[in-house]
Amino acid sequence: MRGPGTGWTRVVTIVAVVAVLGGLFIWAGTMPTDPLEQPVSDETEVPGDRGAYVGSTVTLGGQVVETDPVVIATRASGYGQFTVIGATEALQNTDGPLERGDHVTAYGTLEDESTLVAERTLTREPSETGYMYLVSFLGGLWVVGRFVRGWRFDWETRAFVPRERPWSLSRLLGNNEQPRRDRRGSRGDRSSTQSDRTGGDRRA
Amino acid sequence: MIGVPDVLTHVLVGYSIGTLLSFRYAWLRPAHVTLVMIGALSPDFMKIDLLVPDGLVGFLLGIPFSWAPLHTLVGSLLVAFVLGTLLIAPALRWRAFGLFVIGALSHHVLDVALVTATGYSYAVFWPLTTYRFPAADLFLSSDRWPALVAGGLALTIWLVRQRITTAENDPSRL
Repeated sequence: MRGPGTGWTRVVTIVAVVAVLGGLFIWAGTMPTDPLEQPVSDETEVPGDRGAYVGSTVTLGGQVVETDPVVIATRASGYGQFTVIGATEALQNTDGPLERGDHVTAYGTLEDESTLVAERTLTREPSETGYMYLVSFLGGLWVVGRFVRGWRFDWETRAFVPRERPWSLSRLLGNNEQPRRDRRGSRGDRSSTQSDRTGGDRRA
Repeated sequence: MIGVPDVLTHVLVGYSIGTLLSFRYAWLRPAHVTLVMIGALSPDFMKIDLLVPDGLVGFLLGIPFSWAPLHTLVGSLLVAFVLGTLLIAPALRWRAFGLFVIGALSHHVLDVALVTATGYSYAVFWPLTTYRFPAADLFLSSDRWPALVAGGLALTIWLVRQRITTAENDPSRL
Protein backbone atom coordinates (compact mmCIF):
# COMPACT_ATOMS: atom_id res chain seq x y z
CA MET A 1 0.00 0.00 0.00
CA ARG A 2 1.30 3.43 -0.91
CA GLY A 3 -1.00 5.45 1.28
CA PRO A 4 -2.91 8.53 0.15
CA GLY A 5 -1.43 9.13 -3.34
CA THR A 6 0.00 12.34 -4.60
CA GLY A 7 -3.18 14.09 -5.68
CA TRP A 8 -6.14 15.61 -3.89
CA THR A 9 -6.55 12.70 -1.47
CA ARG A 10 -3.20 13.63 -0.06
CA VAL A 11 -4.01 17.33 0.28
CA VAL A 12 -7.32 16.50 1.96
CA THR A 13 -5.59 14.05 4.34
CA ILE A 14 -2.97 16.66 5.31
CA VAL A 15 -5.68 19.27 5.96
CA ALA A 16 -7.66 16.72 8.02
CA VAL A 17 -4.69 15.71 10.18
CA VAL A 18 -3.69 19.33 10.75
CA ALA A 19 -7.31 20.07 11.72
CA VAL A 20 -7.24 17.22 14.27
CA LEU A 21 -4.01 18.67 15.71
CA GLY A 22 -5.66 22.09 15.85
CA GLY A 23 -8.57 20.54 17.71
CA LEU A 24 -6.17 19.04 20.26
CA PHE A 25 -4.51 22.46 20.76
CA ILE A 26 -7.88 24.00 21.59
CA TRP A 27 -8.94 21.05 23.75
CA ALA A 28 -5.71 21.24 25.76
CA GLY A 29 -6.23 25.00 26.05
CA THR A 30 -9.58 24.50 27.75
CA MET A 31 -8.14 22.10 30.33
CA PRO A 32 -7.21 23.47 33.76
CA THR A 33 -3.90 21.56 33.52
CA ASP A 34 -2.59 20.78 30.06
CA PRO A 35 -0.72 17.48 29.40
CA LEU A 36 2.65 19.03 30.27
CA GLU A 37 1.57 20.66 33.50
CA GLN A 38 1.27 18.93 36.84
CA PRO A 39 -2.20 18.71 38.34
CA VAL A 40 -1.28 20.95 41.29
CA SER A 41 -1.55 24.71 41.67
CA ASP A 42 1.65 26.68 41.17
CA GLU A 43 3.19 30.13 41.51
CA THR A 44 0.83 31.56 38.88
CA GLU A 45 -2.18 30.97 41.15
CA VAL A 46 -1.06 30.59 44.77
CA PRO A 47 0.39 34.07 45.53
CA GLY A 48 -2.83 35.75 44.43
CA ASP A 49 -5.05 33.83 46.89
CA ARG A 50 -2.73 32.43 49.55
CA GLY A 51 -5.42 31.70 52.13
CA ALA A 52 -7.32 29.39 49.81
CA TYR A 53 -4.29 27.14 49.35
CA VAL A 54 -3.22 26.69 53.00
CA GLY A 55 -3.10 22.95 53.66
CA SER A 56 -2.94 22.07 49.94
CA THR A 57 -0.10 20.51 47.97
CA VAL A 58 1.37 23.04 45.54
CA THR A 59 4.53 23.72 43.53
CA LEU A 60 6.22 27.11 43.76
CA GLY A 61 9.02 28.21 41.49
CA GLY A 62 11.12 31.30 42.05
CA GLN A 63 14.47 32.93 42.73
CA VAL A 64 16.26 32.44 46.01
CA VAL A 65 16.41 35.82 47.79
CA GLU A 66 17.53 34.57 51.22
CA THR A 67 19.31 31.38 52.18
CA ASP A 68 18.83 30.99 55.95
CA PRO A 69 16.03 30.10 55.96
CA VAL A 70 15.50 29.73 52.22
CA VAL A 71 13.09 32.36 50.88
CA ILE A 72 12.04 32.41 47.26
CA ALA A 73 10.44 35.24 45.31
CA THR A 74 7.88 33.91 42.84
CA ARG A 75 7.65 37.25 40.98
CA ALA A 76 10.57 38.62 38.99
CA SER A 77 10.05 41.91 40.83
CA GLY A 78 11.05 40.19 44.10
CA TYR A 79 7.49 40.06 45.42
CA GLY A 80 5.41 36.97 46.07
CA GLN A 81 7.86 35.66 48.66
CA PHE A 82 7.55 32.32 50.45
CA THR A 83 9.76 30.66 53.04
CA VAL A 84 10.61 27.13 51.95
CA ILE A 85 11.21 24.80 54.92
CA GLY A 86 13.63 21.97 54.15
CA ALA A 87 14.51 23.33 50.69
CA THR A 88 18.13 22.12 50.83
CA GLU A 89 17.36 18.69 52.31
CA ALA A 90 14.67 18.03 49.66
CA LEU A 91 16.93 18.83 46.69
CA GLN A 92 16.70 16.13 44.03
CA ASN A 93 19.40 17.12 41.60
CA THR A 94 22.30 18.49 43.67
CA ASP A 95 23.46 18.43 47.27
CA GLY A 96 23.27 22.19 47.53
CA PRO A 97 23.88 24.56 49.16
CA LEU A 98 21.40 26.94 47.59
CA GLU A 99 22.71 30.38 46.76
CA ARG A 100 21.02 33.70 46.16
CA GLY A 101 19.90 33.99 42.55
CA ASP A 102 19.45 30.23 42.03
CA HIS A 103 16.13 29.21 40.53
CA VAL A 104 14.23 26.78 42.76
CA THR A 105 11.06 24.79 42.16
CA ALA A 106 9.62 23.42 45.40
CA TYR A 107 6.82 20.88 45.79
CA GLY A 108 5.11 20.43 49.13
CA THR A 109 2.36 21.55 51.46
CA LEU A 110 1.53 25.19 52.07
CA GLU A 111 1.58 25.30 55.87
CA ASP A 112 0.51 28.90 56.27
CA GLU A 113 0.16 31.87 53.95
CA SER A 114 3.90 32.38 53.61
CA THR A 115 5.46 28.99 54.38
CA LEU A 116 5.86 25.92 52.21
CA VAL A 117 7.09 22.65 53.72
CA ALA A 118 9.07 21.13 50.87
CA GLU A 119 8.93 17.46 49.93
CA ARG A 120 10.97 17.76 46.75
CA THR A 121 12.94 20.68 45.36
CA LEU A 122 14.87 21.24 42.15
CA THR A 123 17.38 23.96 41.43
CA ARG A 124 19.02 25.42 38.39
CA GLU A 125 21.68 28.09 38.03
CA PRO A 126 20.98 30.88 35.54
CA SER A 127 24.01 29.83 33.41
CA GLU A 128 22.56 26.35 32.96
CA THR A 129 19.49 27.75 31.26
CA GLY A 130 21.71 29.66 28.82
CA TYR A 131 23.66 26.48 28.11
CA MET A 132 20.44 24.61 27.36
CA TYR A 133 19.27 27.20 24.83
CA LEU A 134 22.67 27.24 23.12
CA VAL A 135 23.05 23.46 22.67
CA SER A 136 19.39 23.13 21.71
CA PHE A 137 19.95 25.68 18.96
CA LEU A 138 23.04 23.78 17.75
CA GLY A 139 21.08 20.52 17.75
CA GLY A 140 18.33 22.08 15.65
CA LEU A 141 20.86 23.56 13.23
CA TRP A 142 22.53 20.18 12.74
CA VAL A 143 19.23 18.52 11.81
CA VAL A 144 18.26 21.31 9.40
CA GLY A 145 21.71 21.08 7.77
CA ARG A 146 21.44 17.32 7.33
CA PHE A 147 17.96 17.60 5.87
CA VAL A 148 18.98 20.23 3.32
CA ARG A 149 22.03 18.15 2.36
CA GLY A 150 20.24 14.84 2.07
CA TRP A 151 16.82 15.74 0.68
CA ARG A 152 15.31 17.80 -2.15
CA PHE A 153 11.77 18.77 -3.11
CA ASP A 154 10.58 16.91 -6.17
CA TRP A 155 8.08 19.05 -8.11
CA GLU A 156 6.72 16.06 -10.05
CA THR A 157 5.43 14.17 -7.01
CA ARG A 158 5.28 17.37 -4.91
CA ALA A 159 7.12 15.55 -2.12
CA PHE A 160 10.56 15.30 -0.60
CA VAL A 161 12.94 12.69 -2.03
CA PRO A 162 16.47 11.77 -0.94
CA ARG A 163 19.16 13.31 -3.14
CA GLU A 164 21.15 10.97 -5.36
CA ARG A 165 24.32 12.55 -4.01
CA PRO A 166 24.33 14.67 -0.85
CA TRP A 167 24.42 18.36 -1.58
CA SER A 168 27.60 19.95 -0.28
CA LEU A 169 29.18 23.36 -0.05
CA SER A 170 32.35 22.35 -1.87
CA ARG A 171 30.30 21.09 -4.80
CA LEU A 172 28.39 24.35 -4.89
CA LEU A 173 31.69 26.22 -5.13
CA GLY A 174 32.58 24.20 -8.22
CA ASN A 175 35.10 22.06 -6.41
CA ASN A 176 33.23 18.89 -7.32
CA GLU A 177 33.84 15.42 -8.65
CA GLN A 178 32.50 16.29 -12.09
CA PRO A 179 35.73 17.58 -13.73
CA ARG A 180 37.60 14.41 -12.87
CA ARG A 181 35.06 12.45 -14.88
CA ASP A 182 35.52 14.96 -17.73
CA ARG A 183 39.23 14.31 -17.69
CA ARG A 184 38.63 10.68 -18.41
CA GLY A 185 36.37 11.72 -21.33
CA SER A 186 37.04 14.61 -23.71
CA ARG A 187 40.33 16.22 -22.69
CA GLY A 188 39.62 19.51 -24.43
CA ASP A 189 36.56 20.36 -22.32
CA ARG A 190 38.10 21.51 -19.02
CA SER A 191 37.49 24.26 -16.56
CA SER A 192 40.42 26.57 -15.79
CA THR A 193 40.98 25.19 -12.29
CA GLN A 194 41.01 21.73 -13.76
CA SER A 195 43.70 22.60 -16.34
CA ASP A 196 45.81 24.08 -13.54
CA ARG A 197 45.49 20.87 -11.60
CA THR A 198 46.22 18.72 -14.64
CA GLY A 199 49.20 20.93 -15.40
CA GLY A 200 50.50 20.14 -11.94
CA ASP A 201 49.98 16.47 -12.56
CA ARG A 202 51.97 16.63 -15.77
CA ARG A 203 54.92 18.25 -14.10
CA ALA A 204 54.87 15.51 -11.49
CA MET B 1 7.33 21.64 34.72
CA ILE B 2 11.01 22.41 34.78
CA GLY B 3 11.73 21.49 31.17
CA VAL B 4 12.86 18.78 28.83
CA PRO B 5 16.37 17.54 27.99
CA ASP B 6 18.16 19.82 25.60
CA VAL B 7 17.40 19.28 21.92
CA LEU B 8 21.02 18.30 21.20
CA THR B 9 20.79 15.20 23.41
CA HIS B 10 17.61 14.08 21.64
CA VAL B 11 19.15 14.64 18.22
CA LEU B 12 22.34 12.76 19.15
CA VAL B 13 20.26 9.82 20.40
CA GLY B 14 18.23 9.93 17.16
CA TYR B 15 21.46 9.86 15.14
CA SER B 16 22.74 6.88 17.14
CA ILE B 17 19.52 4.87 16.76
CA GLY B 18 19.26 5.67 13.05
CA THR B 19 22.87 4.77 12.34
CA LEU B 20 22.61 1.52 14.32
CA LEU B 21 19.54 0.62 12.24
CA SER B 22 21.53 1.37 9.06
CA PHE B 23 23.99 -1.40 10.04
CA ARG B 24 21.07 -3.83 10.01
CA TYR B 25 19.13 -2.50 7.00
CA ALA B 26 21.12 -1.82 3.86
CA TRP B 27 18.49 0.55 2.37
CA LEU B 28 18.92 2.92 5.28
CA ARG B 29 21.19 5.74 4.10
CA PRO B 30 22.28 8.92 5.94
CA ALA B 31 19.23 10.74 4.51
CA HIS B 32 17.01 8.22 6.32
CA VAL B 33 18.98 8.63 9.55
CA THR B 34 18.04 12.32 9.31
CA LEU B 35 14.36 11.28 9.49
CA VAL B 36 14.98 9.51 12.83
CA MET B 37 16.71 12.70 14.02
CA ILE B 38 13.78 14.91 12.98
CA GLY B 39 11.43 12.50 14.74
CA ALA B 40 13.59 12.66 17.86
CA LEU B 41 13.36 16.45 17.78
CA SER B 42 9.67 16.67 16.82
CA PRO B 43 8.02 16.77 20.30
CA ASP B 44 10.10 19.88 20.96
CA PHE B 45 8.26 21.67 18.13
CA MET B 46 6.20 22.61 21.17
CA LYS B 47 8.99 25.09 21.96
CA ILE B 48 7.37 27.32 19.35
CA ASP B 49 5.60 28.45 22.52
CA LEU B 50 8.71 30.52 23.34
CA LEU B 51 8.17 32.57 20.16
CA VAL B 52 4.39 32.39 19.90
CA PRO B 53 3.05 31.79 23.43
CA ASP B 54 -0.20 29.90 24.06
CA GLY B 55 -1.75 33.05 25.47
CA LEU B 56 -0.97 35.10 22.36
CA VAL B 57 -2.55 32.52 20.02
CA GLY B 58 -5.52 32.26 22.36
CA PHE B 59 -5.89 36.04 22.35
CA LEU B 60 -5.61 36.32 18.56
CA LEU B 61 -8.06 33.47 17.89
CA GLY B 62 -10.34 34.31 20.78
CA ILE B 63 -10.33 30.69 22.02
CA PRO B 64 -8.27 28.83 24.64
CA PHE B 65 -5.12 27.36 23.13
CA SER B 66 -2.11 25.23 24.15
CA TRP B 67 0.80 23.85 22.12
CA ALA B 68 1.26 21.07 24.70
CA PRO B 69 -0.38 18.29 22.57
CA LEU B 70 2.69 18.43 20.30
CA HIS B 71 4.59 16.94 23.22
CA THR B 72 2.36 13.84 23.62
CA LEU B 73 2.44 10.47 21.84
CA VAL B 74 -0.75 11.16 19.89
CA GLY B 75 0.57 14.56 18.83
CA SER B 76 3.85 12.97 17.74
CA LEU B 77 2.01 10.39 15.63
CA LEU B 78 -0.01 13.11 13.89
CA VAL B 79 3.13 15.17 13.20
CA ALA B 80 4.88 12.01 11.94
CA PHE B 81 1.95 11.32 9.64
CA VAL B 82 2.16 14.75 8.02
CA LEU B 83 5.88 15.62 8.04
CA GLY B 84 7.35 12.12 7.99
CA THR B 85 4.83 10.49 5.67
CA LEU B 86 2.57 12.64 3.49
CA LEU B 87 5.32 15.09 2.56
CA ILE B 88 7.71 12.27 1.60
CA ALA B 89 7.81 10.58 -1.82
CA PRO B 90 5.16 7.80 -2.03
CA ALA B 91 7.64 4.94 -2.45
CA LEU B 92 9.37 5.80 0.81
CA ARG B 93 6.36 6.83 2.86
CA TRP B 94 5.81 3.99 5.28
CA ARG B 95 9.48 3.48 5.94
CA ALA B 96 9.79 7.20 6.60
CA PHE B 97 6.82 7.05 8.99
CA GLY B 98 8.45 4.19 10.89
CA LEU B 99 11.78 6.00 11.21
CA PHE B 100 10.11 9.25 12.30
CA VAL B 101 8.05 7.43 14.96
CA ILE B 102 11.11 5.58 16.31
CA GLY B 103 12.80 8.95 16.78
CA ALA B 104 9.74 10.47 18.49
CA LEU B 105 9.44 7.45 20.82
CA SER B 106 13.06 7.86 21.92
CA HIS B 107 12.23 11.48 22.80
CA HIS B 108 9.32 10.53 25.03
CA VAL B 109 11.27 7.74 26.74
CA LEU B 110 14.06 10.21 27.61
CA ASP B 111 11.65 12.89 28.78
CA VAL B 112 9.79 10.54 31.10
CA ALA B 113 13.20 9.87 32.67
CA LEU B 114 13.55 13.54 33.69
CA VAL B 115 13.61 14.80 37.25
CA THR B 116 10.45 16.73 38.09
CA ALA B 117 9.51 18.67 41.21
CA THR B 118 6.36 16.67 41.87
CA GLY B 119 7.94 13.26 41.16
CA TYR B 120 5.53 12.68 38.30
CA SER B 121 6.09 12.95 34.58
CA TYR B 122 3.86 14.63 31.98
CA ALA B 123 0.66 13.07 30.57
CA VAL B 124 2.37 11.36 27.63
CA PHE B 125 -0.74 9.38 26.59
CA TRP B 126 -3.10 12.39 26.57
CA PRO B 127 -5.86 12.56 25.32
CA LEU B 128 -6.29 8.79 25.73
CA THR B 129 -5.57 9.03 29.45
CA THR B 130 -4.11 11.65 31.78
CA TYR B 131 -1.97 9.02 33.53
CA ARG B 132 1.39 10.42 34.54
CA PHE B 133 4.29 8.03 34.96
CA PRO B 134 6.32 8.43 38.15
CA ALA B 135 9.32 10.44 36.96
CA ALA B 136 12.43 8.28 36.67
CA ASP B 137 14.41 11.19 38.18
CA LEU B 138 17.39 10.45 35.98
CA PHE B 139 18.45 13.91 34.91
CA LEU B 140 17.52 17.56 34.57
CA SER B 141 17.13 19.29 31.22
CA SER B 142 19.96 21.67 31.97
CA ASP B 143 22.40 18.93 33.07
CA ARG B 144 25.44 18.71 30.87
CA TRP B 145 26.20 15.03 31.16
CA PRO B 146 23.29 13.64 29.07
CA ALA B 147 24.59 15.54 26.03
CA LEU B 148 28.13 14.30 26.77
CA VAL B 149 27.01 10.66 27.10
CA ALA B 150 24.82 10.91 23.99
CA GLY B 151 27.68 12.64 22.16
CA GLY B 152 30.14 9.91 23.12
CA LEU B 153 27.71 7.24 21.97
CA ALA B 154 27.06 9.02 18.66
CA LEU B 155 30.80 9.50 18.07
CA THR B 156 31.53 5.82 18.71
CA ILE B 157 28.81 4.74 16.31
CA TRP B 158 30.02 7.27 13.73
CA LEU B 159 33.56 5.83 13.94
CA VAL B 160 32.25 2.29 13.49
CA ARG B 161 30.25 3.45 10.47
CA GLN B 162 33.32 5.12 8.95
CA ARG B 163 35.23 1.85 9.34
CA ILE B 164 32.45 -0.19 7.75
CA THR B 165 32.11 2.26 4.84
CA THR B 166 35.87 2.20 4.23
CA ALA B 167 35.86 -1.59 4.34
CA GLU B 168 32.99 -1.78 1.85
CA ASN B 169 34.77 0.53 -0.60
CA ASP B 170 38.12 -1.18 -0.17
CA PRO B 171 37.82 -4.71 1.29
CA SER B 172 41.62 -5.04 1.60
CA ARG B 173 41.61 -2.47 4.40
CA LEU B 174 39.37 -4.46 6.72
